[in-house]
Amino acid sequence: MKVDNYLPREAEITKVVQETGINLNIKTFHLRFTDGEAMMEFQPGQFLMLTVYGVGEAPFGLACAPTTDCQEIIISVKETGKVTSALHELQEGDSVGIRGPYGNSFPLEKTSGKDVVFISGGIGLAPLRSLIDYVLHPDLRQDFGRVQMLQAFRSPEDMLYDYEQQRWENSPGTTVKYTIDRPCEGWEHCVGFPHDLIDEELDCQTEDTVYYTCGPPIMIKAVTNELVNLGIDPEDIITTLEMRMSCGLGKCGKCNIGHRYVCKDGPVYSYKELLEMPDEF
Amino acid sequence: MIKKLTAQDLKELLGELRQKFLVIAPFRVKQGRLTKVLYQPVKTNDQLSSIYFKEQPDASPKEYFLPRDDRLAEETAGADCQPEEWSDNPRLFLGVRSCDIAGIELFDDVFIENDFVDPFYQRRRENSLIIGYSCQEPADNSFCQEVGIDPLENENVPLMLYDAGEGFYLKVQDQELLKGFEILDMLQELPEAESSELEEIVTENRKNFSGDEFSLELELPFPEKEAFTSVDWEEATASCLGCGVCTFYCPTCFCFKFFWEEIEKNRAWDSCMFSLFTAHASGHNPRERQDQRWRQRLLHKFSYHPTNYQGSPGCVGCGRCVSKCPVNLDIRKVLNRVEKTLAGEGVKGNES
Repeated sequence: MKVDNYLPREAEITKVVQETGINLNIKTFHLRFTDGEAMMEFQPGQFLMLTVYGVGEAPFGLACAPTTDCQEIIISVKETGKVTSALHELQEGDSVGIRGPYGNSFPLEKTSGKDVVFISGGIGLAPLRSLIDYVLHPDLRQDFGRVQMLQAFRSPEDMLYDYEQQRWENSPGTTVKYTIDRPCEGWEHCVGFPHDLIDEELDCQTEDTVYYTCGPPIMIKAVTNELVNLGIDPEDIITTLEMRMSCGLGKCGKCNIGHRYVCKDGPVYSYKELLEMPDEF
Repeated sequence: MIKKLTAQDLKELLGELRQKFLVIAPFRVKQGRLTKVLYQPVKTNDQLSSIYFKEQPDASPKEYFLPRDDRLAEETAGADCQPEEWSDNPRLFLGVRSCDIAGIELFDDVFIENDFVDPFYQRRRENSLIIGYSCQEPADNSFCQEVGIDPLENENVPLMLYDAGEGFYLKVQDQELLKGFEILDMLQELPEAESSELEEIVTENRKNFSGDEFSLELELPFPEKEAFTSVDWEEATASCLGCGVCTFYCPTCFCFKFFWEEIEKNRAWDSCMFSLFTAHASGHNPRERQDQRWRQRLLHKFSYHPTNYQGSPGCVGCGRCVSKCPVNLDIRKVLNRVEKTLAGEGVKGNES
């Protein structure tokens, strides 16, 4: 029996990266536990509950992969509410609290040996990064087939992880495409919403390929619809949901969708599972 | 083993039990112009003669297990921090009716699971002994038998108290559960009663429970997606104010939130009746409308909880949500409507 007292472990912010221009204000935080064991065990797709001491707590998807060289916990945070605003004020050396990891994870077994497609919208790239960095890790790369990415952002200013993109682009058997909402001077990549670009820009095979998508709810819906139109099996389309949460353990009742608790049975669901669930997300 | 007690015997037994236990029992308490029956700790032996069994208590004793607001610990105390000791004395809950016992059992299912234990709940629960109470007549608006609860007998508590008008019967049902509480010795002195005497009383009282007008026809769980989409929830729940009283009085509602007072992490009851319950920081809200929140409350109890817990209902039929609703929105009427709609869809229940 696992006892969870809802109290976090202390972690130190070791690095803060300003990802985007001030318009969206996304920062990436690198964290290490201060109690000796810097890392925790986790799986790609899981999330943690982060406490800003004296302010509150909120869930964040892990944006790092559990590979051997992973020394720090990484999350990317968009300034939105009380906790995220307080977090954005914090700096290197400040302390926060961490509970977790919680939730299920991306289906690694199902993905193993197959081609992988990642379609992201904005900060939806953050939770996918836990799998992207896993799949593209030199020690694990041979376990997966071809990798394609389509990353959507509002504007070039809003791009995430520009310091990682070169590495991803240069990984063997990998193509990375970028798109922004509106044309912009000097932009040499795609323009438009991701669901309109899937057919043209990605090679969408119906066999032996797993599709991962994450972004705003409306984008997830549009992308999954387009993939289904292209003949992709809903079981092969994987996404991860966001809900308000207090406990992360399937108790507090906030993240219910039908009998499922997104914090415990999710946050990762296939589109097939989403179709079986009441439409309440 | 059945013991026969006069009112005086019961008082003396409780007086003795008070040396070991914090005894919590129902009392008539004045609140403004109203008199309510509330569970309260017994502070002096003089109070023992005022214990009041005749009516269903205003609220279940759930707040003694999951307090309305509860200090957990300093949020920097760490993941290994143990709950503080509240009291060295175990607690004895006297006169708990079958509906409220079932409420506590539901909490046990949720907070002491194989893959998860809530140490704050567990500490309070393990420190508590329950003496059940056999109802003599139905409480207002109650429908416990429709959710599989016997208001007269309850085998899930170690001791059960039966009101015989002139005195009481106390049935010892599970001596194992009483181990460590040293209560059996105290009972030795009391005269034994024949089980037939008690059966007679229960049979007589049971006659009062035959007139349930409300009935639940479908097996639980209600089929999730059909119930979610096919029922006209808006019309069925149009009068709801969203005050949340139903959930606070409900013996099975356990949803909660955390709140902070400087460095203290606290827990308080929360309610699915409130829009902020599910509102995201971004402004998105999966349950924007009150009828969507009502649907959540009803289906959590009659579909989602039974799905997650082997068909066990999430409602104990105590009727408090009906009695307490400021606009007389009656869950029985909504349930009838749901069943009618599902029957129209050709759904037999339990097949989702």
